[in-house]
Amino acid sequence: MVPRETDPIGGCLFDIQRWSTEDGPGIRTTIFFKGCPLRCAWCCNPESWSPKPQLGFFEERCKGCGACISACSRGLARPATGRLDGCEDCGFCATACPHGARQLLGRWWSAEEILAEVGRDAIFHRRSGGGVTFSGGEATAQPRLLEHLAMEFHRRGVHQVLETCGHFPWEWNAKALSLMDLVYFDLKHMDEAAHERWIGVGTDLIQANALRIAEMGIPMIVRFPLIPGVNDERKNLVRMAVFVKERLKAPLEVMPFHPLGRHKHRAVGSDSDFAEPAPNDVEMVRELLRAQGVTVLESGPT
Amino acid sequence: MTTHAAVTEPARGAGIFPQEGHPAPTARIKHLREAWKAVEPRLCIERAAIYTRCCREHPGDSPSVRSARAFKAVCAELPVTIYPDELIVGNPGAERRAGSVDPELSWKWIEAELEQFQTRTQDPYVVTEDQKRRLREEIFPYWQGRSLEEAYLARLPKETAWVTVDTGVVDNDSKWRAYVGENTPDFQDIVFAKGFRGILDEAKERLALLEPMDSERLAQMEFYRASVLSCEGILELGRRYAEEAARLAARESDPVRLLELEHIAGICRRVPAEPPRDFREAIQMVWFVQVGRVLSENAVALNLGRLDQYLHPYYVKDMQKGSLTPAETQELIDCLWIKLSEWVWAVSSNTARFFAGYSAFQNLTIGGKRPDGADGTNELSYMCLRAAAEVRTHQPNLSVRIHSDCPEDFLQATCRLARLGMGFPAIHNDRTGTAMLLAAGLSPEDARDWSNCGCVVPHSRKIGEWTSAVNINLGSALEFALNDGRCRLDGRQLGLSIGDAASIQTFDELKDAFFAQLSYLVKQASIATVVAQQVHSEMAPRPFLSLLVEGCMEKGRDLSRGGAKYNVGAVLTGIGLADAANALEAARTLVFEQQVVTLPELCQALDDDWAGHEDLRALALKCSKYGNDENRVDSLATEISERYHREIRSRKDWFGSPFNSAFMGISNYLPAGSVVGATPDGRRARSPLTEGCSAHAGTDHNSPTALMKSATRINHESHAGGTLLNIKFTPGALRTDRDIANMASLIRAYFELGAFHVQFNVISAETLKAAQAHPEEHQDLLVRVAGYSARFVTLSKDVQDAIIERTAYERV
Repeated sequence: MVPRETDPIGGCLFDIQRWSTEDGPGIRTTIFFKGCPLRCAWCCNPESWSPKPQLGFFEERCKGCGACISACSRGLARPATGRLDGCEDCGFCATACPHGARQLLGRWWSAEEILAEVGRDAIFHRRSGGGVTFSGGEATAQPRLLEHLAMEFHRRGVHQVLETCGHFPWEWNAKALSLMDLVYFDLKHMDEAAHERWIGVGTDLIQANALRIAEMGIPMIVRFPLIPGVNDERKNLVRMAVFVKERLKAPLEVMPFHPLGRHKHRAVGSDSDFAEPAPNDVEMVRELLRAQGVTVLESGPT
Repeated sequence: MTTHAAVTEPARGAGIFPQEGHPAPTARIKHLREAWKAVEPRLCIERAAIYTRCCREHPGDSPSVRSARAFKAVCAELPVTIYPDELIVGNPGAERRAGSVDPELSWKWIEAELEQFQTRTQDPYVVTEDQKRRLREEIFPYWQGRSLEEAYLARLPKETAWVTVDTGVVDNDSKWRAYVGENTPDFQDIVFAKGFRGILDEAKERLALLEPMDSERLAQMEFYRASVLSCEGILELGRRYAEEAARLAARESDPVRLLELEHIAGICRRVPAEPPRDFREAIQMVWFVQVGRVLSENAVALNLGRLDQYLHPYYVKDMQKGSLTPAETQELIDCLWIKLSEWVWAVSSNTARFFAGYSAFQNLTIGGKRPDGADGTNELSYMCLRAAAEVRTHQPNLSVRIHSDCPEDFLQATCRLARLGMGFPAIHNDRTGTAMLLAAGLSPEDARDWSNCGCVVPHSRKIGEWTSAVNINLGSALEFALNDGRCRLDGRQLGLSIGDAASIQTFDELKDAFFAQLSYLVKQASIATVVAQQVHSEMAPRPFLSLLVEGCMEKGRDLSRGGAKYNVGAVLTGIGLADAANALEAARTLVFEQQVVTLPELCQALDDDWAGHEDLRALALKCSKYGNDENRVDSLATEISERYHREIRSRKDWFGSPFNSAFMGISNYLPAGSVVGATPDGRRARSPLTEGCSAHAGTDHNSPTALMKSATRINHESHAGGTLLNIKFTPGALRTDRDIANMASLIRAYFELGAFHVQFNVISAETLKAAQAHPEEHQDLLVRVAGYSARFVTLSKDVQDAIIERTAYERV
């Protein structure tokens, strides 16, 4: 998805959330970019994987009224069914559905629209020491839009946070990164093979990017999603602790897996079946990391 | 210096500051609270019986002398009781938690409802057979043909009566079935400065200077005679409590309680007669004034004003002398809280639906700027927050004034109190309250010294005002526009007959019809108010309350006749602003833009209460709704509020002051909704409308910030009768210190946008269960799921169940 210089600046988002209080300091507006290079099996926002708008079907809400049948541009839609082969995600059925069972997830936003939407809560951002958070999906996967927004927000004096998976071409995002006030950097696994297996890509690019951000001196918090059976073994935790403490010199938050995204997986027809870690186990992991000398923040969710 | 340090160091309250645990009241407060809880609300007829006898014995008295003489007799004869553990003494009834009735105002509803008092669902009272017999035999017969209610109904124009009496469309029943209330005593300049002996002397002096030469002077002389009698009454009440305390002390075996009783006797020998000298005397004086007011009128909104401001000088003095500790002060304030919760406002079943929960709306205001412009937040402000957390009763209605330079500690302590989920405190924008009263004609100093009345009305101790004169149902106005002036539920013609749905061709015609109906209801409401005010001025003088408001003594004129320094126009409250805007928006979208339905077809669906039109209802629910920062519908709400304001300001009340508009709460949106059929926005027949400037329940699906942006498109300053916003939070969203800091910032930003009031309802697990069952009615609930905030209704059932379980646990 390399944009051309002549394209109007904009991109595909799946949501802009106001009153976001978990993605950085203060009251924030979080921009969820659509499209992600990773395929983490436990992802809580599976609708963010595809870089295009896509049809979502929420079975519990379907009343079987049939409004979708006449609206479908391909003659495919039937009540009580989701996306069918041949569906082009045109979204006509979602517009027609009176019950919100069919929704088009994501749409194209111009940069101007995004700036205006975030600007609506400017007074709340200023009052609370909050600002804007780029999340996703993966914001760095739309580098031209990210850079444009980062420069505009910088000019307006808005506090900027980037949440990233770290898997991106450095040169395309270096400018935007230099304007960030804080980066949340996900580290999921230290083992190359396990990383390939669970996430679909290797660790090299991610670790190299983390080191570059550390070198630039941008405040960074490492986020570690704790998934039982995937990355909770001692060996992995120790390797991560050494990397975070010795190389990145950054604090870390443990993010225990939670099943919020399960119904969303069903909506877009993918599978996810992971267990929530027990609170005791989460605490043990935190203790282990602390024992290795890592600064483990309490601010992560419990 | 050590005592001075104690004065400046805020007394940090339990549960109010992060470093402290759960609220821990003293053993005394626990005992008093248990005693309060153990007694069911009951009816007291002593005041009615004494008042009736007194009037019977003096048939020739002028209304004000008659009322004052009866007041004095009640003060002299009502049983005096000092309960164990009490530090503040005095009861406005013969028993704890007793509500009096005022048959001189209205006895018919009492007679009609006498058998149901004990069994009604909303706010029942215990009533004995003997009380019923005495009411029927001794009291009601005398008032037959003599009550204010009968005079009011006889004089009310037929058309106005048809639209306003017990219809739910325009409602002012609390203004002719009860006294007005809505008063704030001037402790600073009158009561504490003079004492009631000083006030008595002043009335006597003024009386001595007058000769009965003309009607004006005759009226003034009656006023001063009534003032003298009222002062004598309250002095007698104080004397009797001093006597009772001394009597109990003489029999007391516990040496600690003995000292307390002797101290109480000493305090009551001093106040209410003389100006208080210390904190204990001052707070007892506050309570005596409250007892006097309740005995005068069993009414709503007998406010306490800025308690932290007028008691503070006494606190500082006592601390410097070393005669009082912060802990003792806290306990005294807690005692006042209990006393304020003890008396109940006895009301009709209809009024109880509008003002649910035995709440007498005794508003107590803390924080805010002083008249000189400096921050007035002090140690007592924190102690009041702490009292609310410790005592946990439904009264007083605690209001907090927040200004841009208010200490962050105070605002965060306010947020922590709100988190406890009692609905208190009401949080107010200092600057907007001042602007509202400046617009109402107060001087800058007086406007800055505002306090709250009842629920959210900016008020002042210098004011005479009917702050909740009438409720006007905007849902009905909309219904009449679509239905040729008839109620959809029963077909009654209560609005103008200017055409039905079939006659409306464009959206502008629909809007015009709505505003025409609204204008008609405002006209009927203003007539009902002016007639009520006229009848009150003739029949319901307020001699004791007139002693408490500057201007009455100087003019020799009762509060009910415009004696106050400022007479601010009566407030006409609009109910259902969001509903009217949402309904117009849905009609515009579905009928005039998308054309999926004609207006008569839509009305058929409303007649059927959406039965058989479920898909149309789903489309109606999908239409833009007020409260989501969406220009289309929000601009309709703004337009309605502006037109409503202009319509109301163009009319004047009995005192010649322009009426004031308000979009405020109480629980009036429930009964108002019960008379309105289904509405085009998808709302079902008889379901609640919306309070104040809030979004219709469950429709603000975007965010609290979006709701606040919608609400501040409305010009709050122009609605001098008050505006209200309720926001729901789950306890999980207010857990950490960071959550509290964000909540504080949210409030500051909202006030910077020009709003007047916000209140946080921390919701329960039961509400979440209801949301699970009826998601369409609860689109607004935000919950915290691990590191996310999400809308509850969008979550899958297993996650919802987990959150319900956790919420039940987190509920403090």
